[in-house]
Amino acid sequence: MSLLEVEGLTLDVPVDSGNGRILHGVDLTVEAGSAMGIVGESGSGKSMTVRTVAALLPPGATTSGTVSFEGEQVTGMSSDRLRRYRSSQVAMIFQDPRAAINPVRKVGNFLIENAVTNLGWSRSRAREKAIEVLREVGINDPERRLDAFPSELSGGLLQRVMIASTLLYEPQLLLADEPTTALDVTTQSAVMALIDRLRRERGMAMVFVTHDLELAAAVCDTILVMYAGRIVEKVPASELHERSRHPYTRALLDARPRLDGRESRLRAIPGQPLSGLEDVTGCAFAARCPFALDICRTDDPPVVVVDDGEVRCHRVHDQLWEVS
Amino acid sequence: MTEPLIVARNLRKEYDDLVAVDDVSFEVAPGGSLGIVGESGSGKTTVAKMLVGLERPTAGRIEIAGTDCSVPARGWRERSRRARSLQIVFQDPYSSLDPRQSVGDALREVLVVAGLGRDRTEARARELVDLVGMPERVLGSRPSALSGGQRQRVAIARALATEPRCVILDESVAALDVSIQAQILNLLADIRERTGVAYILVSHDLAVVRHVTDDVIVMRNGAIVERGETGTVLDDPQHPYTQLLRESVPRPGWVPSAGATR
Repeated sequence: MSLLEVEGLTLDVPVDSGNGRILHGVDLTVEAGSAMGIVGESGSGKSMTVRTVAALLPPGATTSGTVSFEGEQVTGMSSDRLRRYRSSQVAMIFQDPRAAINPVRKVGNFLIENAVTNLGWSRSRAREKAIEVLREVGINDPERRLDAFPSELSGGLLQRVMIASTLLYEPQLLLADEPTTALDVTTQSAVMALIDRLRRERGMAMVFVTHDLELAAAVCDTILVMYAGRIVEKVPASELHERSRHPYTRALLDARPRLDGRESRLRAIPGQPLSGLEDVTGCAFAARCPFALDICRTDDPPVVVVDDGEVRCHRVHDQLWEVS
Repeated sequence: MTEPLIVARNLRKEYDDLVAVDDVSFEVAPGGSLGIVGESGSGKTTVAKMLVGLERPTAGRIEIAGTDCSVPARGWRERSRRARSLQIVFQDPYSSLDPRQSVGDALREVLVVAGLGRDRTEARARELVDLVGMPERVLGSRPSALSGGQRQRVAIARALATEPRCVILDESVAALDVSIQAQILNLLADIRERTGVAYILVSHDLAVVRHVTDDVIVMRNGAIVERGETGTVLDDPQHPYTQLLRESVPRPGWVPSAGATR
């Protein structure tokens, strides 16, 4: 049994004209201790996928398919069970720690609140442990930081506090939604190194959502590429550059300017990213794909297993580029 | 040698006790492209704001096309003249356009202030949307009907309306999706080739800086720590801070490193 199994997940949310579907049958499996990256552009559904795993859905949203954690259905959990699930088994960290941490309460309160309210710890035990985890995430003088307000800490420090809060109870799965996007690159590097080390030391699994393919490849075992509410490719992180096969994955890799040289023109992808909400016949990427055939515009591509990955593309066997 | 288009000399900006910009000097040639690289708190945006006159330098001198622009413009004529020299495009295309104003009105407003007649204004508005690769019908659209990438095209069109000699791009592609970012970067290159406009790109993204700029200055805590030709600085950074920035960019085979956090 895998730690997390998502099968045939769909998500519908209320929109002006009734209901709109933003996830169209997402399947993914995360093994204990492993790290999975989900990458994609705006509207691809990457954030909503992890929010569904945490059962943090917008009001009025409905799902079908299954999300199971250690074999237990997350969608069927009672509110008491959900509280325990979110306070002891999974943890979520967000892009903007300032929006996720109550600004009028001290850092110490934020850290120990969950342990005292949901796990039944005494305040003194929670405080002791909070000092320990703050030290572990590299924050100097943790006793003093407990009495600080969030506004007194930099973004990088506050994201460390957020990470520390998840270590208090050692969850089995960390859900990280663009945790470093709002940070400077040097801070991003330090925070990712921290997450990576803590995760490995504790055997904690991670689902890491980001728009940055290089970052995902550096800290994950497997990469899922999402487009328009669908997973279009699953590829081992170590093979992302050499062996990914979906035209969208390749196009994303090619569109970024290079750090080690200058091209006269970037290989931009024409058009704009499609959100899951839009009606699609055939392959969602067909309208922007330079390799699209007639069948791509009419038939939904099936999932094809190739080597260690999975690709949803009609032309997966056509050797569109050299795959080593 | 040609006269530089923009000269900044010993710029300094203080806010109470804080020195945000400390002794910053650089030049931009006509049609040139300068990158200003740095992280939050480096002072890069404050430099941009002083150039466009949104902040007044505590000390130092700014010359644009031979005119002293260190003090705020006095009078309509002087402001209008500076607007024809230098424009700015901000990071967030969602907050930089008036939601109640159509794209056409946003452009016409600038053109009318610049003194174009009615006929010329309409023609120029159509030219501008074409220049940024959009169909004429967007002139009637409000920003809410446009995607982030389309809005940023409008912001660029508006900045180009008065045919400025230099446009400051303040993190102008940072909020865009990768595929859209590439489109806008290509567009910026095309516009520079066609119009000879100069760019000052303020950015934390070294790959984007490499793509857009010829020369670069690296700022930290308000001061310039390294400067030079962009390719040389990025391939062979001399200052430890530039080296750290370079090392922090995720790339194939990269491993995040603990380093120091502020």
